[in-house]
Amino acid sequence: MSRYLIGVGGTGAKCVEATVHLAAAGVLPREPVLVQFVDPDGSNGSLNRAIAATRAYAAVQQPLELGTDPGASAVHAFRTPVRVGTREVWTPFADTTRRRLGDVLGYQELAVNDPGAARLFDVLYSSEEREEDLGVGFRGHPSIGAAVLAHTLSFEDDPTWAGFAASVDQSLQSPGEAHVFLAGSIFGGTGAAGLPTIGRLVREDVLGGADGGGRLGAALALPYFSFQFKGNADGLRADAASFIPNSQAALKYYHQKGYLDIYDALYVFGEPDLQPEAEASVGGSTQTNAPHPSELYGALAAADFFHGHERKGLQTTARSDQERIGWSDLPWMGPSGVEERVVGFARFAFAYLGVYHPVLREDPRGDRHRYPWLIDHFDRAESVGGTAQSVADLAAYCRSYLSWFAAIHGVDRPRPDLLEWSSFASKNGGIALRDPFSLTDSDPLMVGDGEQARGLRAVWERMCSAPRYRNVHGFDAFVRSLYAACTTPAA
Amino acid sequence: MNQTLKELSGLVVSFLLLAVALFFGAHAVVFEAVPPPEGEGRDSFLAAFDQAFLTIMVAAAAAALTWFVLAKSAGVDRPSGAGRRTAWAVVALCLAAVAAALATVMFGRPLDGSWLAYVLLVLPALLAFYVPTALFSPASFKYSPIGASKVRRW
Repeated sequence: MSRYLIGVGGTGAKCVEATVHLAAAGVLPREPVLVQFVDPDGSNGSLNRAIAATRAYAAVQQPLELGTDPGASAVHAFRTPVRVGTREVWTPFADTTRRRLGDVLGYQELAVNDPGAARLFDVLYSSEEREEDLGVGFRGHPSIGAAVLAHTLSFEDDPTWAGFAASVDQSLQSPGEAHVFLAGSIFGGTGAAGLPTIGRLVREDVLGGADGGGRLGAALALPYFSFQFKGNADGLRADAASFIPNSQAALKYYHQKGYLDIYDALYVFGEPDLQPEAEASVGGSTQTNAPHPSELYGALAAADFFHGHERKGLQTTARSDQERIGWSDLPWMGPSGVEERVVGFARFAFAYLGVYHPVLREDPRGDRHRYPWLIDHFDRAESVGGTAQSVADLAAYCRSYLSWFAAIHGVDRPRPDLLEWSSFASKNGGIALRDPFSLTDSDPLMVGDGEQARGLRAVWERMCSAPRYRNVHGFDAFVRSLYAACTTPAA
Repeated sequence: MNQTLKELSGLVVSFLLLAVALFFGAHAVVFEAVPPPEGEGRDSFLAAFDQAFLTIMVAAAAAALTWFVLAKSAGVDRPSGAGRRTAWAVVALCLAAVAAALATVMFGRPLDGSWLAYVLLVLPALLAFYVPTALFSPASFKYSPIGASKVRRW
């Protein structure tokens, strides 16, 4: 592993989810990425969606290994191996019976053995903060989170972080190879507490301080959504009204504490108009915030950092139109257009789910002449049935990818104009995938693109006329062929 | 060269080459193995055979082109539109019927004693239809001709 992505809190997890989708489209470099989620609330809905997307990606990427075949340089999809750490989610509350700040920091023992320190504790934290169950997160209180994380995160004693540190240490043997990137919000609880704390610890304990090797970067999310609790919610909780002052305080802290020097690159993104979330939640499985186009900024920041681009100072985002996000608003200095790859993969996912997956699922043995691409790719290899799991895994991932892009189009301000989602999704409250698709064509997937030569008919024709791969057969060859048919520019 | 032109030129060239080869082959076999009916000279018998053969080959060419145009214009954008083997078979059966009718009308010799000539009028037409369509049908229908996947690999 040489690239490390740490998603801190719910927003961090959502940025990881977006990064995984960019990896599928081939926007990330080929170097393997190790993902580690950090969240005291393991049941967080947003976190679990990100984990599911990462697992779905790995299930497809691992057996295909498209990025490792030197003869497949044109296949960008799934070229980046993405793995999750030995424990997908690290929580500071390994001991589930000690999930209160007072328990973690040993308040009771202090009160007996060191009353002075206990009184200082009383000054810094209210009794409510000391006694609140933190199993659903730090409840928008980064002062609690920072204390808990600094006390529990150890690169020596904790197996998750010890493994992480060992892996980074190994990457450091090759100059310029270890890139550690953190993503999270600075306006909530876990991200605001974790980003500075974990960043500093990684810099000092893993990368060897200012003179050590490797690179450290972070995407800091400023407020871009809000919520309102209905009725009376008991206990500590995040308050959307304090997001802006929290962010101000956090940025001031970053400035005063010299975090620009700790990080080699800092990317900051947010929105002037906060998207209201349908459901407010203090945490747990009900805390499932819909994907937001801003998370693309976070994902692009990770991609930019992993490509090794040198960025000095604070990288911020800007748009020509506050109401709308188009492709030209997404900052990217990579070797190829993000739009080209993301839309190309969307076309691939659309074609696969709508046209090819149903055939592969049925495996029409007596009727194969109808599908020349099936004969070309599968006759000399195992039957389609032998790769049924891969066929299903790719469908699951394609659904995840299209669902994510459809969902970000459900945001009103800024209104994304990235994909024409109505070909594969419909709006009914949120935006959900159609089943089956309308299959009018795959051209309308790209906003403003009228290029007929990439429609489903052209894709089918290309699939049927593509030369066979010499060394690749079966499902692997099929995926390469379909990707090429969906992404090769029209002649 | 775009895909359509490549497929069409392949179809035309393979048809012409095969037709020429079949013509000389059939002519030679008829010359050697099929005696003309009593009272008819070999030259006029062979001339009638050659004329019928060429006319039937034109029908075969028309059939191959008909299949090509049908397949090309159909296109496929979803599994339900794929295959069309029945359409190919119908064209082949129509060709067989037309070839048999043309042979009867144009050649018109008694079947008794000339049956081999009739076979050599109808069979080459079907062969001249089959081989080019098996090798050069539009990509989306390249395996629709029966046995095309084996012919193409062979």
